[in-house]
Amino acid sequence: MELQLVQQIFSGIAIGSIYALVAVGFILIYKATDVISFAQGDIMMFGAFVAYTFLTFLHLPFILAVVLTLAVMAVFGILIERVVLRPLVGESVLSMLMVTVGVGMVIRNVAGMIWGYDTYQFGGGISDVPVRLGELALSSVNLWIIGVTVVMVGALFYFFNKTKMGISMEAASQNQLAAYLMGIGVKRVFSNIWALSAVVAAVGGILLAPIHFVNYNMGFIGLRAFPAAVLGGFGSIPGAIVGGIIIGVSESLAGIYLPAGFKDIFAYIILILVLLIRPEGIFGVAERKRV
Amino acid sequence: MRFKKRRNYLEDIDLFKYRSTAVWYGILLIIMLSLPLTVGTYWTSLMTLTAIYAIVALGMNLLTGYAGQISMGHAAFFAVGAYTSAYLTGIGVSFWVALPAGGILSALLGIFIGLPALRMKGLYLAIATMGFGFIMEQVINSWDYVTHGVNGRQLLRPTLGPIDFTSDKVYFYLVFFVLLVMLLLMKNILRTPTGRAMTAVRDSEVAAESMGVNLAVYKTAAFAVSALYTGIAGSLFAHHMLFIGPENFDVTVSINFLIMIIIGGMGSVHGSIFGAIFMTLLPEMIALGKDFLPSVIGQQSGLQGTVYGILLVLFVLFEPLGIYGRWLKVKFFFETFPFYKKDTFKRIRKYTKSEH
Amino acid sequence: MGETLLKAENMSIRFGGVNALQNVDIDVEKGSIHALIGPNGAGKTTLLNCISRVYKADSGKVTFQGKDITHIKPYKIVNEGIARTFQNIELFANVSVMDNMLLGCHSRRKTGFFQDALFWGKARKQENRFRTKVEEIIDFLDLQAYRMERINNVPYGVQKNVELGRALVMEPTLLLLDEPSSGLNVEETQDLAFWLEDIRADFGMTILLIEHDMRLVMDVCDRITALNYGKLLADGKPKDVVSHPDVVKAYLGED
Repeated sequence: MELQLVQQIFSGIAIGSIYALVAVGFILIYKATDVISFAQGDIMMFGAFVAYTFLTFLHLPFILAVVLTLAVMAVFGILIERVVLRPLVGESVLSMLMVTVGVGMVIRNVAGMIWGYDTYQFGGGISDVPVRLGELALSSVNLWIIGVTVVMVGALFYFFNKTKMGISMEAASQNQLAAYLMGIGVKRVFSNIWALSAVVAAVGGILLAPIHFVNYNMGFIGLRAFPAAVLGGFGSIPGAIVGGIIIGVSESLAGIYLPAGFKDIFAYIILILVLLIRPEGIFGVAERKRV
Repeated sequence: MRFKKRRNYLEDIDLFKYRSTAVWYGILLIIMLSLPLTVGTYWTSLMTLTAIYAIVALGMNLLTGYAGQISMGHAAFFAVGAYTSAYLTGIGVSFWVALPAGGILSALLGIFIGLPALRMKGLYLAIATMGFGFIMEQVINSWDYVTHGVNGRQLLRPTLGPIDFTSDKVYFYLVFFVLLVMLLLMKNILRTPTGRAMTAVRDSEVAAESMGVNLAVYKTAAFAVSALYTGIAGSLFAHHMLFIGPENFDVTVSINFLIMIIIGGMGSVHGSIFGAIFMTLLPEMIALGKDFLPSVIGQQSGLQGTVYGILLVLFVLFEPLGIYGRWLKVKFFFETFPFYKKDTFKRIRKYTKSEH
Repeated sequence: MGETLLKAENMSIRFGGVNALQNVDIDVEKGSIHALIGPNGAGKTTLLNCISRVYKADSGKVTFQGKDITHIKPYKIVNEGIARTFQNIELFANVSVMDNMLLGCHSRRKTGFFQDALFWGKARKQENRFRTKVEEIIDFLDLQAYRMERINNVPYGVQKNVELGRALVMEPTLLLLDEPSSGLNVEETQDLAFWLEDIRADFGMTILLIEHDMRLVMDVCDRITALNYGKLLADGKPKDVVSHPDVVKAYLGED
């Protein structure tokens, strides 16, 4: 029984890592541009399909396919920002929210048209073999997911704290006007942010593929990253990681201890409870409007 | 431009500003009432659906357009109205009790949801209401006793004394009458302190509070009224479709409700109606148009979603006030011809984040 | 000395590490026009916000007409008879001038939701009463040309007046004005000076205003309180305050 619990927690951490990656995408965009991207889950799905195409139809080696996918997704992210979001800078929350909903719908339905409505599986890449640790049998896929997430988070941390581009992006997120006056091209920063978050989402999609398969509807999983982002206060990357893991683990535990059906909505139950108790999220800071 | 001499300050908020406006609306009303007699059952049924969506759009617009609270879970209220009505009529309660009961139960749930909303704004509320929508979907799936789960529920059309609403045409008149009542109530709310306080909450919470608006009361009220409208529409919808199942109330329905008011026109009663018409006509138009498209695109089930998505993006980008905004511009163009200035409808933007 | 209308004692508030207000006292006499002056960041708006309950002061006590209003709910402040305007204009941007000002009547509404929804009898009469009141203020401030304009389409100076008008519609005993003349041109400022005196004379309101235009202050105010760095610098008759050494130093710098 205890073993099973540990294994459930472990797979919860794995799925939570994916939520965290998608949530990081939300947060990057939100912090920099004040936009909440409801398209993030669909961008993740799109990334998974692009990788699937490279692997299955073009028979590329796994690493090459991933690198190409990330490149394609970066361009895709920039494209979304340039065409749809840039004209809306300074518009209301609802306008920007709805435009991303629209973009998500288009991506989802077009993906259905291109790839069909079936469920696909990746060939090659990560294979699922149990890794034994004493009596524990952990899935290698889950280990991969957690490992890649840790690497991604480390890379993001390095990027935002040590590289010039990252620091300028961080600066633009905190104060657009000041960043602009300091000579940072705010518009270019926005493009970069969208590129980056599309890349992060694609990584999430590729990681999700072995445990959830690839389907035009898998973007809805991405919506569960919202509770993760909110738990983390919608402002910090570490917050999103912790939020993602809390959601992943509690969901996975709800799967065993609660009646059927709870698993899929448990994330939202936690979300609403947290918002009731602490509306600004666990790690969030309350804002005060100046008058 | 037309002018009118006022003899009384209340004339500013008359339902019809000029006598000619009243005449036009009268003509429209007569057309609406006679249409079912001339068109076939199919179109009558579409008109009924439009009227039902118009009630939803009024409620959505009050909450999101006027009070500025984003809800991405309104299908839940629609479901409460529909299932309450289905359950009550199922155990033998009259439709005439079940209809308001659905609305009231939905309003109570609206208050319950509105309470946490007091402490959240903007995106948090959007996400929380979306979560609520998902939870409701699960409840519908699991609560067999009331909802019959994935099997769905069947309903009957009501009767009132000698009048039998079973036929689509007669049922249309019932729905249309309810719509007219709801329209009038909405207009009244909007032109009195209640509606003004709600818009005030949307535009500046600090100022609204300093004028004595209790934010908690008005936000909750906006949720309640909006849920009431959506619940009543849900009940009418259930008795119109005669069959309801979980797929009628999923998250895409909530999002479609939002799209409806954005494309119709945010913060406008006309816009709600336009949005509802758009919502029912678009699938018909797509069905008509798809034979002209290459079959690779035309025969795909994703076509409708794609068109919705593209239209939504285009409207937000180019006509944020929706069809109603376009209508205003056209009207203004003719009224002021040839002095139309493009700048009259300039968009206002706020550049946030420069201060803090 | 006349009767004290508003008395704030020992007001203190901190934002993060900054002492925005430190033990500030202010007395506003009934029927006076009282100015609050000081350099930028002196804590003037913060004091106004604490009095009108937009901010919650960390410590201190506010008494208005002999009643302790320190812990009253923000939306109840208007019922006590305090109305205010805002430094950066907090109008309801997407509705008309008329509707903005009508909200000033909100605190006097006697109808509930249901009466409003039916809009018959009492609700109709009330609406007529509210509109009459607003039209009266519109006449007073010469806003007729803009009655039905949306706030977004109205010039800045007019927006300032609409905000003043909205506060007047609230029929307060004490009017708090946060920089009413900022952004106004010379003529508009002159109008304002007349209005301030008329407001006191015709409506019997007491006015506490934050103001940078010293000419306006010297012209119309009976009393000045000067703040700097969240502390009280001087308080008294305009002549005495402007020649107070600390005030001169705060405005012109050391030496």
